[in-house]
Amino acid sequence: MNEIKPERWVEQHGDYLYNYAVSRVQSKETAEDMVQETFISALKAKDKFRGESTELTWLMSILKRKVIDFYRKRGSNKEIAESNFSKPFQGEEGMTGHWIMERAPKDWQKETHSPIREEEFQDIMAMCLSQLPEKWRAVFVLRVMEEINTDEVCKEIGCTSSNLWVIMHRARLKLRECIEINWLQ
Amino acid sequence: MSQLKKTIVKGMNRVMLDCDTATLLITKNEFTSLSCIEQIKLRMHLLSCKYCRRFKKQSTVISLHVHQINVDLSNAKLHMHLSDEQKKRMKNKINLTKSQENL
Repeated sequence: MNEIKPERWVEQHGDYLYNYAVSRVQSKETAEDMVQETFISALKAKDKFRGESTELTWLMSILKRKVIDFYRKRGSNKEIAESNFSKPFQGEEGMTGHWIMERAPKDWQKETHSPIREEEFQDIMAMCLSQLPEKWRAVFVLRVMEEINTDEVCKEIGCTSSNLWVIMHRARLKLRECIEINWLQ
Repeated sequence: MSQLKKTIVKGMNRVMLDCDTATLLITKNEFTSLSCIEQIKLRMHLLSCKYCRRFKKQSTVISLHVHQINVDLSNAKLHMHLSDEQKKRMKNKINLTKSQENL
C-alpha cells in the first residue's frame, strides 16, 4: 500500500506537476496557482486516497481535472468566429478557397539552416497557443495534448463535433502560420 | 465571367477540393477516418497542390513536437523548475491548510 506524505509533496512532485501545468496553460503564474490548488484539494481529499496508485498518479489525476475545468470555464462561451483572424484563403474576388500566396506555407526545410531545438520549438508553440482565442485553445489542448476523445471534449466545452472540426481547422491554420512567422524570421 | 465559365468552375468544384476544404480534411484525417469520397478528393488535390502538401507535412511536424512534450513528461525530462520562493509559498499554504483542517 502506498502512503501519502504531504510534507514531501512540494520537493518530490512540485517540479513535475509544474512542468505539466505550464505545458497545458502556457502561463507560469496560472500553472503555479493550479499546482498549489492541486495540493490543497489533495490534502482535503486525502481520505479518498486508496493507496492503489502512486502518490504522483493520484496528484496528477487531480491536476488533470483542474486543467479541464480551466478550459471548460473559458471554452464554453458561445463565440466561434471571434478573433480577428482571417483565414489564409482567397475570398469571392479571387480563386475562392485557394491559398493567398503571401500566406501559403513556406518550405521549412529550405528556409531553416539547422534543425530547431526541442525547447525552442516548445517555447514558440506555447507563445502561439496563448494567442489563440480561448475556445480554440481549449479544443487544441484538450483534444491534441490531453488526447481526450472528440465526444468528451465536446461535452466539456459544449460544442457539436462538426463544430469542433471547424474550430480545430482554424486553430491549426493559425498555429502553423504563427510558428512559421516566429521560427523562420 | 461568362455563364459557360461559371458552369465549368461549378462543375470542377464538385470534383476538386479547394485548399480551405483540403486542409480541413487533412486535420480531420489526423484524428478520425475520412469517407471514401473524401479520401479520393483529398488525394487528388494533394497531387496538384504543393502548398497543401507542405501544410500536411508541417502539421505532422507540429503534432510530433506536441507529442514530444508528453514524452518528455513521462520520462521526467523537466525543462522548468520551481524556484525556492515558489516552493516556500506552496509549503506555507499546505501547512496552513493542514492546521485549518486539523490534519
